This record gives sequence, structure tokens and C-alpha cells, in this order.
Amino acid sequence: MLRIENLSLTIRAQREEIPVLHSVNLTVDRGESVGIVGESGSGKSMTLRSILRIEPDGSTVTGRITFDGTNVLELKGEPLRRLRSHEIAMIAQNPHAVLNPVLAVGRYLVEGMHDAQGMPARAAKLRAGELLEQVGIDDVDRVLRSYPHQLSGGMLQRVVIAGAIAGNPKLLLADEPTTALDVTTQAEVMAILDECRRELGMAMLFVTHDLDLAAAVCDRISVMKDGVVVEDGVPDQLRDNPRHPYTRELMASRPASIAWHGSKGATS
Amino acid sequence: MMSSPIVVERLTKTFRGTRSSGPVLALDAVNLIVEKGTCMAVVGESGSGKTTLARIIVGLETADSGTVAVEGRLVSGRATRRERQRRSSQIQMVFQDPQSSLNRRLPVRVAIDEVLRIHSTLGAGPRAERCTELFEQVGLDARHLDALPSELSGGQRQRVAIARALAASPSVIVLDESVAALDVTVQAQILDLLTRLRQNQGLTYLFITHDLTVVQQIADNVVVMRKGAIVERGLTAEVLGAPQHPYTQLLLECAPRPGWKPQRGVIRALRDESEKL
Repeated sequence: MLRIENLSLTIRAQREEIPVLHSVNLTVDRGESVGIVGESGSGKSMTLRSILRIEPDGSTVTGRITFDGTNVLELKGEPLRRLRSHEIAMIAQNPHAVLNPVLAVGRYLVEGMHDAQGMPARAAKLRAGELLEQVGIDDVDRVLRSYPHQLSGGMLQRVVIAGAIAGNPKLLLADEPTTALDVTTQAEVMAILDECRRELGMAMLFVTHDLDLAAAVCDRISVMKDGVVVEDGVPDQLRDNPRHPYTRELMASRPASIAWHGSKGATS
Repeated sequence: MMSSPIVVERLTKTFRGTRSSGPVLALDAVNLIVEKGTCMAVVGESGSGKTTLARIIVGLETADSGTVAVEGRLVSGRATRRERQRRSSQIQMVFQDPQSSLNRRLPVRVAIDEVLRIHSTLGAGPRAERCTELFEQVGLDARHLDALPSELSGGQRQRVAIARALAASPSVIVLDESVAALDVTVQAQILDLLTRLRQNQGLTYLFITHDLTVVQQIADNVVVMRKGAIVERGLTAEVLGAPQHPYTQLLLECAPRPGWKPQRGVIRALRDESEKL
């Protein structure tokens, strides 16, 4: 479905050309979940942004990105807008950056469906409530009426996820969506994201710095460093039999010897 | 008998909060003792009170009631200039983001030299030597002394912040999420450095963090905080290996690890259980 071939990207900052991506290859099949794991400056977010053509102004992009056979790098105008509103959705680290602080979050959801997908306003209103239920929100009516500053980060990120899945996109791009959240909230939001994705048969490209987090929700993982995919594989193989020294270093940095195998009390 | 470097008794602090939240009980009669030469981790989520505890211990914030003694001397509310100076030669703090605590227009040498001027009687020459020495101790090349903060990486800047803390020759260092903003490979290096410094110089650490993997990598003892109270405490290996309180179990359950899958049912059950207590 999504195929990235030999993608290279150079950004221009103060007349300097800075190469950011070097011949990145990556595919995501229909309904598949793929992770990109890397540290800051590895190019993982820039890869994601290239797919929606929201790389920084003045960047030079070479290579090919095809989505359902269409070359994304050649899209302009209406077809590009359609790709962004109907085919591929994106969620990022900071929900405040996408939510309008002076609009109740219900309005945010309704406007998205009404404007972008052309859904009648009344239907969109009903659908907004359903979507919030789908992302595990209990008091839907209160949340719909709330403004962003009245909700916690975990709640806001759920609202953003609801907005992202509203149009039944084929692919969700998720850029560190839980990095700013507390660990217990992160686990809940990831569980919800994973459930929604499976129910809808939606593919996901998930960018994170946390290999274990990616392994929990991804079918395959690409490890990036300095703009290069150094290794890819299924999570178990990366964990048990990493080939690249950098993958080994990543894992050694987070010793996994916490001897916790789940709470008896919780499962009974 | 020598007293423990940090002794906290029934420490309580309430913030006024917002109109909708009302007053917030940030610390609820917290007791804590940190023994000499050990590293005590304080782990909790946002709003647990862990940072407030750290800030009161170093004297950046005052408590409503209760006491804090550092190296046997009470840290009381408003201190005189001399008292503050004496206190800062015993206890230093390293923050999450050194970029906000280093002057971005001045070479990092100035930040360290300033501390030496305050805390020692050394002349300019010996101070410069001491700067080089401190940089060596934290694994930085002396040529970095003349760099601006922006010319250094995040890991290097955090090393500068540690060197600056050491410049005051403290016996206690409070580290508030000091590796949280760093990439994991850099995190591991800084944690190694901190452990080495502690062992070589007999330092005592209070390490504030939200990250159980960090606790496991650096701390001898740990306290788990939730809503202003300590819910569990003990040796790191015991608390992480056989957590007793459902909230500690929840934190562990939610920490990504090999073979882990986040499960809403399990998370919710543990959350409900810990909220009942």
C-alpha cells in the first residue's frame, strides 16, 4: 500500500544544505503496523512528514513514495488534499498543537468531519460521540463540551486519535503520540490506539524512540540512525538477534531485567 | 552518631491551585531518610509531589509544616544570604534541561568558574585548573570549556551541569529528571557517570524520576509517590521485583518491556485497586 523507495531528503537552513535522509526504503501493507525506532536526529519524523509532503520548506526530496500506486511526490492541489483528508491521517506528540484552544473539542471533531469529509453537521455530531466512546472515554458529553485546557494530556490525545480515525483512513501516521504522557496514561492510550487500529483494519506507521513500545504494537520495525535505516525485522528477531551494532547498543541502554511478570490481583 | 545526609519528617505542602481544582495537597506528611553514599530514587507520575519534595529539600520552596535536615542542619524557610551559601555548599541540584540553567550567551566555563568563586578562595589560575579537572571528572574535553551551550550536545550540556554541581563540593546532589530529556544511549552513559562519581567521591543522591528503568539503573533504594504521599518504599530490587502496593504494580505493569502488550483491562483493574487505598 505504502512504498518508500530510496527516499533522500536535504533541508536548507541558512544557506546550508543538511542531508537528513539517505536512501530510506520502507513499506507498509494494508492493515499492517510498522514501527520506526530511532533517537533524536535519526530522521524518523522527517520520513513520516515526507509521506504527507509536510517536510520543511526548501527541502529537496528524491526517490519515490507511492501510496496505492500513486506517486505522492508528484501530487499537488486537490489530489494531495484528498490524500491528507481521506487516505492518511496523522497524530503527533502534542495534542495542543492541533486542537483549537477556543473551541470545545466536540466542535473540533464535528468540523473535521463536516469540512474535510463533507458529512452533514447533525450526523457528524452523533459520530463525534461514537468516536469518543471508541477511544475509551466514559463521560462523552462532558468531554464534547470541554475546551482543551480543561482536559488532561491523555484525554486530549484520545480526542486527537478520535479525530484521526473519523474518516476511516487507510493509514495512520503516529509520531511519538504518547511521549509527553505519564507512563500509565501512555499504556492506556497505546492499548486504545492498538485496539482501534485492529478493529478498523487501519495500517499504522508508528514513530518512537522506545523499542519495547514499538515491539508491543508493531508487526515489523525499522531502526533508524543518522538518516539511514540500519536494520529492519520483526520485533522478536530485533530483540533476540540484532544484527546491527546500533540496535544492540539501543537495547543495552535499557536493561530489561525488571522481574515483573504482571499482577496476580489484576487478572483474577 | 553522624546523622543521615537527608532527613525529612512529616513534610507537608499545599498549593493554592486553580479556581476549579481548589487547593492541591502536594505533600502529605512525607517522611524520608537518605543514608550517606547511597542513591535514593523518588518515582512517581506528574502531580505526585516528587519535584516539590526535591525543591523543598534544596530550599527552593518552603514547606507548610514538617522539617528537612541536610547534613544534620535544619533547612528552614527564608534563609539569609550566608545561610543559603552554606547550604549550597552541601547540597546541589541538577535539573532536567541544562539549557535553561546555563546562560546561552556565555561559554560554559563561566558557569563553573562562578560557582568556584563563590565556594572557594581560589585565585583565577587555580580556578581555571579546577575547571579543567572538573571537566575531566565528568568525561568532557577541556576544550569544551570555551564552548557556548548551543555548541554542545544534550548529553554534553548535562555533563556541564553535573560539573557545575560538583564545583561547589557538595556532599548531596538532588537530580530532578536529570536524564529524562536525553536519548537512551546517552542516558545510559550519564547514569554510568553519575554512579562512578558517587562511588569515587562518596556522594549521596536523591534522584527524582518517572522512569522505572532509570530507577533500576541507578538507585539502591526507592520510594514510590502518588498524590503527595509515599505509597511504597524499600530496596530497589525488592520494590521492583515484588511490588506490594497496587500503584507500584500499576507503574510496573505499564512500563514497556520485552514481550509486553498494554492491556486496558489490567491497567484499569490496578488503577481502581490503587485508588481505593
